[in-house]
Amino acid sequence: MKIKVNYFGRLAELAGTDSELIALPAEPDTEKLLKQLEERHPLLKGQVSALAINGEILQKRIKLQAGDEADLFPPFAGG
Amino acid sequence: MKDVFIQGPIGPEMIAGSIAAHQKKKHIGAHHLFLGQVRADELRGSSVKAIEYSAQKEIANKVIHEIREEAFERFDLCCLHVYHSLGKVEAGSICFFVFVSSEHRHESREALGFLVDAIKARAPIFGKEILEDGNHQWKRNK
Repeated sequence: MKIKVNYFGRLAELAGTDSELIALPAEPDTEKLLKQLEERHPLLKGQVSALAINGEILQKRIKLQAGDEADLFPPFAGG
Repeated sequence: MKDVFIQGPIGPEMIAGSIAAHQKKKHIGAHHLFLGQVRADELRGSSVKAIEYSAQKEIANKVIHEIREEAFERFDLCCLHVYHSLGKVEAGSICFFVFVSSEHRHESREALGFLVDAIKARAPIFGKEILEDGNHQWKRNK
C-alpha cells in the first residue's frame, strides 16, 4: 500500500524532495508514517510541526488508507 | 472559497484601490489595516534581501476562510479582506495585507489583531529568507 507524501518549506530541503510515494506496512496510521519518514530521512527527526491528511490538519493519530495524501509542515511562518 | 494569495509583492496601488473601493460603503465608520512588510534582518554578517513565500494553498485558504468566519462571529464587522504574497518579495515590500471595516473603531481594531495573529499561527505558509550573500534560512514567527 502506497501513499503520497508532500514536504513543505524547510522539510523539503531536509528530505531532499518535495514529494514521494511511500510504501506503508500493514494497518498503517499517522504515527507509523511519521516514524517511517524519520527513519528514511533522519534530518526530519523532531522537525515536523504539523501533519495533514487529504487536506485536513490533524490534531490526533488516524488510520491511513491506500490513496491518502500526507502533507508535512514545519512551523508556520506567514506574514 | 476566496484565494487570498497574490504572486509577488502587494503593491501600494492595490492597497489604495482597496481603500477607494470602500468609499461607496457609507455605513462604514472605521477601517483598520495591517501591512506586513519584509524586513531586512541582519543575519550572520549578511542581511535579508527577500523572502520567498510558499504555502499549502488549499489548506491555507480553507483555514483563512474559517478564521474570517470566526472574526465575523466574534466582532460586529462590515467587511474584511485578507491578501498574502506567494513567491519572492523583496525587503521593504508588502507581503501581508489585512483590511477590516466596521461602523465603529473598537470592533475593527480588535478584529484586526485577532485576524493577524490567527493567520500567522494557523495557516500553512512558509518563508525562505534569502540573504544578500546568497545563503538562506527559514523564517520563524515570533
